[in-house]
Amino acid sequence: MSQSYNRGTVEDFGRWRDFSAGMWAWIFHKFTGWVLVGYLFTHIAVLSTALGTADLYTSTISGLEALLIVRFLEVGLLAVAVFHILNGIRLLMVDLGVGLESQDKSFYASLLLTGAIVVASVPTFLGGALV
Amino acid sequence: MSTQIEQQETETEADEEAEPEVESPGDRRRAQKRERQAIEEAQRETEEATLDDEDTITLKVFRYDPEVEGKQEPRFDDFSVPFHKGMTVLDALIYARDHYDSSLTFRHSCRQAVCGSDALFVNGRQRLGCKTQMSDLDDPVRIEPLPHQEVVKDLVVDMEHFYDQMESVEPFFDADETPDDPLEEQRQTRENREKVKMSTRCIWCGACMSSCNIAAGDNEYLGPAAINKAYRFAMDEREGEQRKQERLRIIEQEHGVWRCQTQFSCTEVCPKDIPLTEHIQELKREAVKNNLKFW
Repeated sequence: MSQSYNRGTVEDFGRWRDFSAGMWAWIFHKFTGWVLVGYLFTHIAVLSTALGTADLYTSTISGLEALLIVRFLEVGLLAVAVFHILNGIRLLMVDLGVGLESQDKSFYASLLLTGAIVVASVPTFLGGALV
Repeated sequence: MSTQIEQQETETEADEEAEPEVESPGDRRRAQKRERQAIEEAQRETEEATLDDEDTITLKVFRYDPEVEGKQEPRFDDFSVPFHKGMTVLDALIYARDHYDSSLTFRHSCRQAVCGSDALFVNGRQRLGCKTQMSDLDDPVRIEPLPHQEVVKDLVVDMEHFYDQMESVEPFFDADETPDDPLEEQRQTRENREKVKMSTRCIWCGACMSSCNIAAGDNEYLGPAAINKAYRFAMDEREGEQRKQERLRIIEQEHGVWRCQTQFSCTEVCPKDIPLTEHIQELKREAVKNNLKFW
């Protein structure tokens, strides 16, 4: 099914406006999955440099928490993790054959729930840094 | 004796046919049909004559012809087509071909969503031309050949790969045991028929395969239509356990059901509303149950 000439945006992400719920769910799931894998490695790398003494660990963590960008990244990480979990539950349902007709609704629901949880988490993550 | 009588009969028949005055029911029907057509034609003409500019729609049609110099570069042609109530995309294309450019090429046959020849990429989505109402689409209507398939000419794509995949799942009824009497019916229970009912509706139009971006990236992937076909027979209880195992071996291979990543694109575009993803998922579960045995 390869093309002998370029048909423009018909066959690539230039079509994103035409994507439906299931496609968006797939893209977001892939994206959040890779972000979480990336975070896992960063997490191990950073913490393994701070395992010498208890004081070193505390100073590393508090040094990171003092950076505003880290606070924002934490909110982003939560958003990514929550969406990945909720959509994972949706995919589990799809695999079990439960409610496949309402798969688009469950995608929108997981998006809304992710948004709500992230908004609710903002005071916790940014409270000390901004106020 | 009998031959003689037959001869006589044919002779009398020939005589009747030769007589012009006697009107046969067929002639009467044809005359009525001609009248009806004339009236309809007149109606249509008056309707079309009263149409103003607002009642025309613009088609942007993908054009490409590798055999003609100057048409080898893909381009879009605009056609202005008078709109009438109930007009489908296929009607509009036929109008454009008949009135403007007879070289405009597209497949169509039954015009009632049964033959599956006219799956097209209309306004960014795989649709069946004869089943899509022009009034449902935004103007201008952009018509392209199915994505992820080689274009032969204009809107005609090469379906060979799709048919190969369809045939690779052995899409025919093949029971382990057939009744001794070849004329005996092989009955299916109502429940079982109900289970495979939706999967039998496939018209081989290729819209699902074209919408699936896994199939686009993996030429060996069976594709939604072929897996649906496999589902139709694997779930048929009349075929027997041995045949079902053979069918499962085909669909649980690396490029079988496991390539599906549940994007639901195929289910979304299927003109016959077959729950393709549901069938693929059920076959996945069937494959797991078949291979994992904890007892």
